[in-house]
Parts: sequence; C-alpha cells; structure tokens
Amino acid sequence: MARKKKERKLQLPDVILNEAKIEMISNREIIVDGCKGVVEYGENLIKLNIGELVLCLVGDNMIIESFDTGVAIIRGKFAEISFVS
Amino acid sequence: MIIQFLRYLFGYINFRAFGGFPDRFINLCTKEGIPLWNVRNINNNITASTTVQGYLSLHTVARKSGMRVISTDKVGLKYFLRKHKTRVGILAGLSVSVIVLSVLTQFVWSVSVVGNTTLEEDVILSAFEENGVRVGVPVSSIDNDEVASLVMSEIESLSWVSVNMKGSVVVIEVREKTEAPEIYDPSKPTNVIASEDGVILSIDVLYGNEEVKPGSAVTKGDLLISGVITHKDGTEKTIHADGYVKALVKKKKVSSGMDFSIYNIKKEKTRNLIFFFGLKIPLGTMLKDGYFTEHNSFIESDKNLLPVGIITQYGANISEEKATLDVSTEEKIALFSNALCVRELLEYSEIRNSKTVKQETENTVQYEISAQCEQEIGTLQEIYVEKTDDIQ
Repeated sequence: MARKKKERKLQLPDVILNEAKIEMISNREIIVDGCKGVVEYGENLIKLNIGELVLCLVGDNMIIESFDTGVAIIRGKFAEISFVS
Repeated sequence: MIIQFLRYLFGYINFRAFGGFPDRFINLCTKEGIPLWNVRNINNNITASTTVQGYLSLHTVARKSGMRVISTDKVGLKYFLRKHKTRVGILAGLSVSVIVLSVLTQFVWSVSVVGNTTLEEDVILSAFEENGVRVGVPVSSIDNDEVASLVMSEIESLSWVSVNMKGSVVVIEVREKTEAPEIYDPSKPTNVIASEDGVILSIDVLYGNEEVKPGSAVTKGDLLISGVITHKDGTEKTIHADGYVKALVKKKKVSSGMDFSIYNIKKEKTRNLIFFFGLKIPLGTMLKDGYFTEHNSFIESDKNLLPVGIITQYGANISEEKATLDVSTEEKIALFSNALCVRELLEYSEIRNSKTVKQETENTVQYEISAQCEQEIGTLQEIYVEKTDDIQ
C-alpha cells in the first residue's frame, strides 16, 4: 500500500504501475493496454487477465482484432462489462 | 490500412482451430510471439489469421493446447501471383499501366487560370502558351518564376502572377492591376468652355468669372467661365474655374437604316482530331479556307478535364449577299432605329420638344428627329501657364 502511494506521487503511467489501461469506443470496440492473457474464450464471453483483476466481456460477434505485446483490441457488440477480483 | 497492405504484401494464412482449450491456445501464441488477428469463436471453432512464419510454429502451440489447426485460405500478393502466373497478360497489362502512368505524369495535363476578373482567360492562357506552358509539355521544362515574370511583362494589366505546379496540373494565379482614379486637381488653372452650340438657360459659377449671361447664344468652344481673374491693380491670377452651365441645344438625328446580309453555305466539312497531351492527330482532311469552328470533348475525371479527347472541327465556305427587304420591314427597322436615337438623346440631355419627320423613298424609310434639349454644356479646358522667374 505504501509502495503504491509512492508510485502515485511519482505520477508514473498506469501501465508502468502494472495496471491496465482500458479504452472503449461506444459498445463496439475496447482496447486493453496491459493485458496479461486470456482466461476464458467463449462464443459470447471473453475473460482477460489484467493483473489484479479479470475483465469479463459479454456480447455478440466478438472478434479479437489483435492481441500482441500486452495490447488486446476486441471488437463486437458488448452487452456487459464486469471486473472480477 | 498500412498494416493491412503490409500483411497482403507479405502474405498471411487464415486458419481454423478446434477442440482443446482456446484461451490457452491464444495465450501460448502470444508467449511464442505468433501474431494473431481477427480471432473469432464460432461454436467453439476458432478462426483467425496469422503470418506465414507464425503458421509454421502454430502446430507446436496447438499440440500443447490440445487443438487441431487447419489452414483455410492463403491470402497475399505472392499467392495471387502464383495463382495467376500462367496469365501473362495480367502481369504485362499491370506493368504497362504502371509505366504509362509514370511517363504521363511527367507531362502537363491541364492548365487553369484563377484570380482574373476582367481579363479574359484565353488572353492569359495564350500568353503562357507562347512562353511554353501548355498541355503536353514536360513538367520539368517549366521554370515557374521565369515564365511568370515574362507573362507579367507581356500583359501590362497584371500586377502579380504565380505559376503553381500541382503534380501534372498547372494552376496560374493572377491578380489584376487596379486602375488609378482620375485625380481632380483643383490647383490646375482651367476655363469652362462650351461643348455644344446653344442658348444659355442658366449659369451657376463655383469659381471664376462669368463670361456669358442666360439668354446668350454660344457656339462650341466659347468661353463660359473664365479662370483668369484681374485684380484692381491690373495684375492677373489664374484659378481653377468651375461651374454648371445649362443651355438649350438643337439636335437632329436621322434613324439610319440597317444592312442585313444573307449567308449561303457553299461547301461544308466536318472532321475529327484525336487530342492526346497536346498532340493533335487529324482523322481526315479539312477545307483550305473559310469559316471554322471547333468543339472539344475531353475525358472528364473528378470534374477535371483530362488532356485526352476528340476535337470536332467544322469548316464551311460561306458567301455573303445583301438582303433586300420589303417596305413594311424597312419601316419597322426605321422605327426601331428611331427609338435608339431617342434613347441616345435622353442619355445626356432632357428633351424639351421634338418633331419626327418620316422620309420615304422608293425602297427606304427614314425618320428624322429634330429636338430641343436642355443640356449641360460646360466643359473644363486647361490653361497652360509658363512659369518664369520673377525679375527683380
């Protein structure tokens, strides 16, 4: 906790702080920077490991547009986004 | 877009993976540095794309995650060329089109003028043509600054010229000179003289000495207001005389007849020319002399005319003969001409009374208008003064 406070004071970027940066364009596209891997990959559910949390995406026609060097771009029609610790 | 192009250039493989653990498969691919894109999960069948290099290492990863991988499609330039290697025509056509396009872009495709308000575009274009800027000349042969300065010296009404090359299109930007207004110089010594014969109705002197009175008859050139003032001691001084002098002027106008001609076409011919980058290839012969017109139909692309098209030339030998008109038509023409005369009179004067007399001969009809008009007849005439040094 004390370390995190120090890091916050240094104003380091989120990715360096081992935290994912999530960017959404409407409910059509989501860019996850700092993705550690895929936990579950189903037809209507994708679970991504983003460090301390798991990002759950529920939707239709979901495509992993690219998954490279910790950046995942997922397109589709998202119905639900949730975080599981 | 660039990534898609590069992928197409280097080639990629679409594949289908099924059975086992898809999440583990994707994670292992990332770990091994195998790029994946367009990953879809349809009924637990994963479809995705990867590079050729990536596909070769994909089987090891698939085995570790318990999946089977089947290639569905190979996409890319090299696969396209391999598929169509027997079709030499496509390759030849592609090469020829690239060569033709790269050669043709070395030449001027169109020349346009912007910024001209009163000066005709054709005048500017012909001046540039004389200095080597026209459709079909090599782009490298045009020295923008030199041509601009040459045209500036040729067309005096231009104040600024710029030649801009936008690829193969030449855009000539011009600015025209603004004519300086006539300067009213009140220090210049002048007299006011009569511009017409007439009887003075009123005289309103602003500066100078009144030389005529209302009711006086004057002839053209008579002094109306003098710009020479004589002081009591006998010395004289010249000033800028000015004023308004209105006179009753007699005017006579005869409606002149109009000549009409009939044109007979003796011989006519039409021919087409192929226009290609300034080169005109005639398709047929043309009359040696006579009346000629041209109609251009060039290929249009995105509202721009390309320097490729057909020019249709029309030539004709025409003979002209004077038309003989009947009396009623002559009379209508004379009446029309008479109306024009009245309009001309009203332009500068006010008609006080007028009389129109019809003059009829065997074949012609004329109208003569005699009118008394109120008109401003005062006009300025400069007094030329020679400056001499005062003798002490």
